[in-house]
Amino acid sequence: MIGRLLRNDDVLRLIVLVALVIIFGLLTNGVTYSALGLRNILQQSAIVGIAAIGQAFVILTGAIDVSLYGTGMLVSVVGASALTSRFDLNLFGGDPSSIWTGAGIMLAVGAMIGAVNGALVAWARIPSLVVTLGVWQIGVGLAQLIGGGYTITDLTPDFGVFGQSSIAGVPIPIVEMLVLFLLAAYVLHHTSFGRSIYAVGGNAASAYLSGIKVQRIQFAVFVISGIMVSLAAISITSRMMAASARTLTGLQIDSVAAVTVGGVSIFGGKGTILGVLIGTLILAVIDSGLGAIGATTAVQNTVKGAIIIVAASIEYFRPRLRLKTTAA
Amino acid sequence: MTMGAKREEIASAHARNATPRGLPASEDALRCLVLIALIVGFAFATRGATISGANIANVLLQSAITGIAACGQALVVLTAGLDLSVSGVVALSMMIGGSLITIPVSPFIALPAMILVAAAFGFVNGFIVARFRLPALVVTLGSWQIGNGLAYQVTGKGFVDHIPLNIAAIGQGQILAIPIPVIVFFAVVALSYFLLHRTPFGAEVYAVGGNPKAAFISGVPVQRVRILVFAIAGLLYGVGAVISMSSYLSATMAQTTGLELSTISAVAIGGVSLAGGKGTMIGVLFGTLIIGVVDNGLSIMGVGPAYQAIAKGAIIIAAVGLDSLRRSSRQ
Repeated sequence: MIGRLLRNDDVLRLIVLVALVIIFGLLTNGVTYSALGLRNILQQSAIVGIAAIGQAFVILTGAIDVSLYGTGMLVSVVGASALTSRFDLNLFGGDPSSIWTGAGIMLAVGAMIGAVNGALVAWARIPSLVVTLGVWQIGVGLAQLIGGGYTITDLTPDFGVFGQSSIAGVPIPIVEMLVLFLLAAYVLHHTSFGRSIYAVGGNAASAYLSGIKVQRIQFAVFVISGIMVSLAAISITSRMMAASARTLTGLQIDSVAAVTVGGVSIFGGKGTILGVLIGTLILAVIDSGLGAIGATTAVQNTVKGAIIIVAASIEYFRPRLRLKTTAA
Repeated sequence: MTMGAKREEIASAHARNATPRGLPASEDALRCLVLIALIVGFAFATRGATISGANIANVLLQSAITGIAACGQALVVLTAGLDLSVSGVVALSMMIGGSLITIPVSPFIALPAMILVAAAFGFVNGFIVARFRLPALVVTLGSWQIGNGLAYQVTGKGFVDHIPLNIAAIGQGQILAIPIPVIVFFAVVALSYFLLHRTPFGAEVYAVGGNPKAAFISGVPVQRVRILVFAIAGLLYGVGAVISMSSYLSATMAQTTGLELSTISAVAIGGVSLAGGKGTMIGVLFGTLIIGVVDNGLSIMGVGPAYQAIAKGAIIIAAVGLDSLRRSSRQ
């Protein structure tokens, strides 16, 4: 029983997560496992976690989305310039829009960019890396044009509800992340759409032959990714009550890191959404643990980089480990 | 017959076969036409400002660092890999070199050390990718972070002050009125061309990128080729770092930002398939120059950085999109 549990990758990953929490807790007199510490870790991971869900959908089909930063930046600049009461920065004529219109606009922009990515990948058959590399640049450029390079502030005050309020003491972004993970788990593991995603990522040609509309799936995952980035952008814009060029820096790296540490194969077709959640949390614990110890960003980056490589190497060593355990 | 001799024979057979596929002259001619059209177009749009001698030298100078690094990136991409660690490697190499040279260590030691550090970094990338059969994207994503982190750690502040002026002889010097960085750029392109299109190793690179299983069965040392392309790429990034530090006379992280993006763009616009096995060094040269001409032309026209980013993104997608459209229409 225990042997079988240990062979479950997500259980292994969970053990690593708990071990990290305890180790950093011991090193910092309990900062990581105090209630406040845990809350901070979850709060920090919410943005990356939400984006990582979308990234996981894309990577499971064997593609990759490196446009997240550009998309997120454009979404938050467009949203903020609808919500701002500053006449000079308002994109839509002057009066700040209601928070629901603002959030709706942001979701629409994100979904639209996702649709462009998806259409170019699925139907024009351009490698996803190239498409999203280009769209990243275009997103950054458009965001600079629209925002004029300013940090957009003075948003409709109620907009803070998406990032700052809480339900029963739990901050909304954390609730949102957990709900989205549940939803994603349901879609990926219990619907035919989810199974098609795995099929496309495992072997697109045989998926096509078995009647799966491969291009539609490839298109859909990018739209999902765009929507997830929008949700992350809404959350961060609401927390900062401002949109600037730097708010989502590194989102693509962090999301890819969370997905790979979570055990999703970069070639597609393999991995679970629970793994992605644990991966997100592992990275967040390391980040805040190192921060609490007093490590500089440089050290944090170095460690994060090493962890990505180590996590990916586990995939290489695992078949042998498994052979050994079954032989024994 | 010994294995070695057999390998040579297979490799040369590959070279013979690869030449017509490896050198689709018509595609590079097309790219050359695009480049010329862009040059003429910008010359009209700016009333000739872009084709002054000084500006042409400027474009070449600006393209030099990207171009040198892009030759390395191209080798990696041709084996169906990808190197995202470019800016991390260049930053680390510059910080180490900059720190050494301000101690002061002689430039004759410090500058080769920079190239060596970068080559070693590339070797480690390649070793991990080849030995553990890991996706290059993930490995170099990680090592990019590590490179940047270490670069920051070496100096403690992310830049080196007071780079001695004597190394300006490299970055700002000229031979026969041609800037040395430009000469190095063309020398690197020529050497990479020779390596890729005229040696058995080059044929092996195409073989590994085209079909690694078939390459392995026909005796190509797949792992060694994978490690070598990353090491050579690292070495070229090191050369880029030397050129960058000696022409700007500074070593900052900002000098390196976006190098992975610009090298991948140059390689992709140059017609190298991201799936590996297809593309030429001449294409990469044109790709680099197309980006350089567009960047320079737009800024002389007074177009802001925002539009430049948009234009660059659109050009990358369009260039590769045209390629895939044409390929699918041919099938």
